[in-house]
Amino acid sequence: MIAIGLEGSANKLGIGIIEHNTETGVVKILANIRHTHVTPPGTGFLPRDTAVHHREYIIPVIKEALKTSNIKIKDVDVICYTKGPGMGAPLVSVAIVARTLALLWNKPIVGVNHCIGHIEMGREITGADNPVVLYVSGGNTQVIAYSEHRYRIFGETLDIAVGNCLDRFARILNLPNDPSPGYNIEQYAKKGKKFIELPYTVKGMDVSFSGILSNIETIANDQLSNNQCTPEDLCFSLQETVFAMLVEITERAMAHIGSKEVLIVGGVGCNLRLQEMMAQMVEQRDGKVFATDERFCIDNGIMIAHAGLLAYRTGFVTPLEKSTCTQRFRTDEVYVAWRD
Amino acid sequence: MNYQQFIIKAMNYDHGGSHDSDACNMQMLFNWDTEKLCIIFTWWRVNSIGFLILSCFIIILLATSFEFLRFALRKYDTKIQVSYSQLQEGRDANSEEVATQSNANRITYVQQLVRTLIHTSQVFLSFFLMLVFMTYNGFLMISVIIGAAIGYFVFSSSVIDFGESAILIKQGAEARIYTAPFLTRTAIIKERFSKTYRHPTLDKKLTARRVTQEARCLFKCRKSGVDTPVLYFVNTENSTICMEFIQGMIIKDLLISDNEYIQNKEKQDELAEKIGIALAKVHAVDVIHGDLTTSNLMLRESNQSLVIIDFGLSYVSSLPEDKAVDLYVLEKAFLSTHPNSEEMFANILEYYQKNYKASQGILSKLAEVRLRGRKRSMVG
Repeated sequence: MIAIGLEGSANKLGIGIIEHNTETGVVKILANIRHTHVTPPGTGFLPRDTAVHHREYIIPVIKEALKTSNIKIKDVDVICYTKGPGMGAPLVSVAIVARTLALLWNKPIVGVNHCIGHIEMGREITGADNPVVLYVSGGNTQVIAYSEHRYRIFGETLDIAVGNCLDRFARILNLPNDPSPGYNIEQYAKKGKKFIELPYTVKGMDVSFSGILSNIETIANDQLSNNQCTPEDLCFSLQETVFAMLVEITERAMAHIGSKEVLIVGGVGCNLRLQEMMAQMVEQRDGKVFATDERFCIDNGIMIAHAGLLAYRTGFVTPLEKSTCTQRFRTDEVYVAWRD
Repeated sequence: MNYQQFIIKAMNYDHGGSHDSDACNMQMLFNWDTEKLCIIFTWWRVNSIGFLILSCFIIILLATSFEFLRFALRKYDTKIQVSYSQLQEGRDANSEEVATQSNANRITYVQQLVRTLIHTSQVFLSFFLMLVFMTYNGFLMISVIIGAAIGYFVFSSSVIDFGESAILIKQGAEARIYTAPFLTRTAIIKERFSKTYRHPTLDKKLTARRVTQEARCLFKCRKSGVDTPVLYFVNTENSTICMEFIQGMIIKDLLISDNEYIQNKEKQDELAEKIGIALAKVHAVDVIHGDLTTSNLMLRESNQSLVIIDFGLSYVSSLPEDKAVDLYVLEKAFLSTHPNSEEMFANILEYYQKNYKASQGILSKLAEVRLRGRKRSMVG
């Protein structure tokens, strides 16, 4: 069975085409094209401009995906799109295309939860069976574990996502947003030497980043002008602190559930330092870390296609009237019928 | 000779005649004999240097085995403890005081038999060596000492500062937990270890802060009537806290595997009352636990009193916001680990409210905090 996935909940527009062999269970990625809306350094992306970007590029990207995958429209079984969570205008822009294609080609639609997309793609690519999932991106920071047909959230951020914290700091330092602000912070952090103390906020299994963000903003304004520290040092200290917080809540979840596997998904999961720290932690517990590369960590269409097809195969379909978008869509709201 | 003379001769027979080459030089005084030396048994007679050296070697071996047996018993005990904590591993939280406490006395008959065997052999060996020592023979005495020295050197092991008596029972997310005797009681020793993934400065600061916060909050709560482990000893240098060993069951296990609590609404209500009251007392002294989960609540076996443990993330705050978040953490822990426990948690809040005058503000804050769940529809 073949599915097309359309993803546009943030500034990354992704179209993916995936094939599930229902007999052998083999999953094949036929196309995974992405186009990112990059803004100038010192700025972030706004919903309206992002939606304009998506509308401009979605048709060319879909065409490219179809060409790469070399399939015919009649081979497509289902069209999957991101129902949420995410930014309103970009989500809706993509949803309209999904509906139109479904009506045009006479195909069923499946609305997919963005977080579930990340999790299922991560599981598929890495082969992790039942890991504790750390989902960290610009829009989400959650520690998730599967239990009784739902991906339950064990710990999350109480205010902003870790990626958001890193991106906003990158803006203060005027780092380029190309390919992504987080990537540039990572490169700077590699050159950092001095460790600056920042507030460390872990509350049980939850974390909080707004405090550390405002603190480091103040420090940046004070110390950079006095040359007491370099931007590299600040990036380094910020990464070390926030990643330590993330690893700690993941470890707590692991201890609570009794799991030995960790899967890192989401844009921030590309960060090698985070992967390294997580690996050190699980080693002390005799466990394993699973992580994917930027093709799957960063928002993409193939994860939507994959999760959508999994749901479709259990008989799940989104009727046209219900093919809306929602900015608030909890991970545990989805009934995971395809796992036991 | 007549009968009488025969008897006298018989009685005088084995009294150390030096003209009898089979006789033993039974001394009650220190000696350096290398001949006519009898060691405990009638057939163990040393009459040559070679045999003396062999005998000494055997004595050394025996003394070494004595130390080995002590080591073996210790190892076996640790193995039992560890295998129990591994059994509990899956059902365990990040909390430190673990169900092994409730199982501390329950070992199988086979295991007790093995332990008895080891101990009895040890007792036998010790008296045997004492008898060897009582030959008053200098060579033999030295052999015993050498054997003991070698044995101790080799077998008295890689054990922590608390002495050979500390037994590791659990490695949590944050610290290693040991049981050890403290004066006349059994104690829990919580040793925080450094996390290699953290930057060293961050790690040291965090660990030190957590040790002091935990100790202070434990003490503060105890002073105000909350049942918590009694604080015995704090060592900030190696990040250890020594506290009371609680004998009892963890609430998480009660609610998962104890049918009495799963099915009996009354029992659940009783438990909810205890939890509500305990939380009220903690918040009343402005202590925020910081990690309220069902794995950090226990029921003391002796008087069924509710014990709150693991103050590792606790701090002091008077803000209703912080207390509300504290309750929210417990609510989430309840709902994610024990599905269908909404009613019980509502009961807990009821008892909390009844027993804490200033709780109204906190509970309305809690309602606010719940809505803050991310990506959650803020409507209704």
